[in-house]
Amino acid sequence: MNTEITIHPKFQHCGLTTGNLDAMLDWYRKVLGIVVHARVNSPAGSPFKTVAFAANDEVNHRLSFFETPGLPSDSDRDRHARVQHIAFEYKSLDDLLGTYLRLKTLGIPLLWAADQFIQTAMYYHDPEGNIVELNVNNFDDDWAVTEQLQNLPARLHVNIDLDKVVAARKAGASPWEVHERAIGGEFTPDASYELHTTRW
Amino acid sequence: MNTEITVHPRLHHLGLITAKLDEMTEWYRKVLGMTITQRAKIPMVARMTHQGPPFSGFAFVSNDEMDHRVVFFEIPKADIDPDKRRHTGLQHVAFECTTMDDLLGTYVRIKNLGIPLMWAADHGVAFSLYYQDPDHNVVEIFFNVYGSPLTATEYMKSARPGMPSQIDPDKLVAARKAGAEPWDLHTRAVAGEFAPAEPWDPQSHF
Repeated sequence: MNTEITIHPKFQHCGLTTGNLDAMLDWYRKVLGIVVHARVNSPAGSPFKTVAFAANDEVNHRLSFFETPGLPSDSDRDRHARVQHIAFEYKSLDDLLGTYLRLKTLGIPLLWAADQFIQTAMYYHDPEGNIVELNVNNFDDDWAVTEQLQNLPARLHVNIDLDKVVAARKAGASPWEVHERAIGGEFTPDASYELHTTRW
Repeated sequence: MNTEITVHPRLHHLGLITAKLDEMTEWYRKVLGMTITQRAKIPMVARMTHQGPPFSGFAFVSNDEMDHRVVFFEIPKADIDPDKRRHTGLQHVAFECTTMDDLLGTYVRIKNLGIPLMWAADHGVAFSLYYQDPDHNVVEIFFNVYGSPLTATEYMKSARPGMPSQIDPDKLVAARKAGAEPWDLHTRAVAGEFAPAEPWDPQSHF
């Protein structure tokens, strides 16, 4: 067996701690289509009461939730090292925009949306304040995305109002035209996102 | 449309000039399983009057889901470059087997067809067999010993320079049949255990 050359295993899942498993599972179900494949009671002595394994694709689990009932969110998270966000990728701009409208109808508030040159992304808080990013590549070719990432403009991103993007898309703009018009500033929100008061 | 950021289009197919369209398509069928997806003749008059391509015919072939992987352009008077090792151009074309057994089984099958092996080696990253097609283009058939292109890339970036470890595939087949796993074959090949009785001359074979 190879014991010298670094193998590149695929990123598979991440685990979250929670104080309210049902609320978390409901949110991830509604937002991302994640379904629970196993829900088990932890053995005696475990710091957790219940563990749930869930996924929204063919991989057996993409998220595992470790529940300690009543576990509080970190009120001082801005000053602690931690996971900053987890991200999910859509195949098309229409899938992203359609999801934006669906979540808006569900009353799930958007934190921020921007064209980040490599991708168009939107951000949400889950019920416990974890940040979930939903994105779509601005390029058809993954390698072109990497090339863009290696050559990012200094301004890094341009804020967008997704309702304006939806209107432009419905008026017939192609995804690439939407991207060009976004970085041209055409979809800048009338009221800026309150990024400095949002818990990132 | 993106007009600035470099897109990475995928390598798709290869074009070859030949005077022996039938013999070439037959060789690629026997060795690699290529079948003809399209074949056409160019009317002589089109060539004589310079109204068409300088070919008498062409054939598109593929051994997978792609519409073509190789396209042969026929020029009846084309001949083999006797001095190709001293001329710029295509050095080889390579095809990948998904398992070591597929590579070794292919070796035995091609041998039974009477098609001679040119040379073979463990390159550290892959076991490779080399053959010459009827026009003396070099075709490599290989198996990546690391099982993943990403691991192979790590190896390439880390690689210790050095000559390939020459192998006699018959010795590999025997060791595999005796139960050696592909990775064991690799370490034993690098250690020289499967070296051919008569080594191939790098000047005339590599």
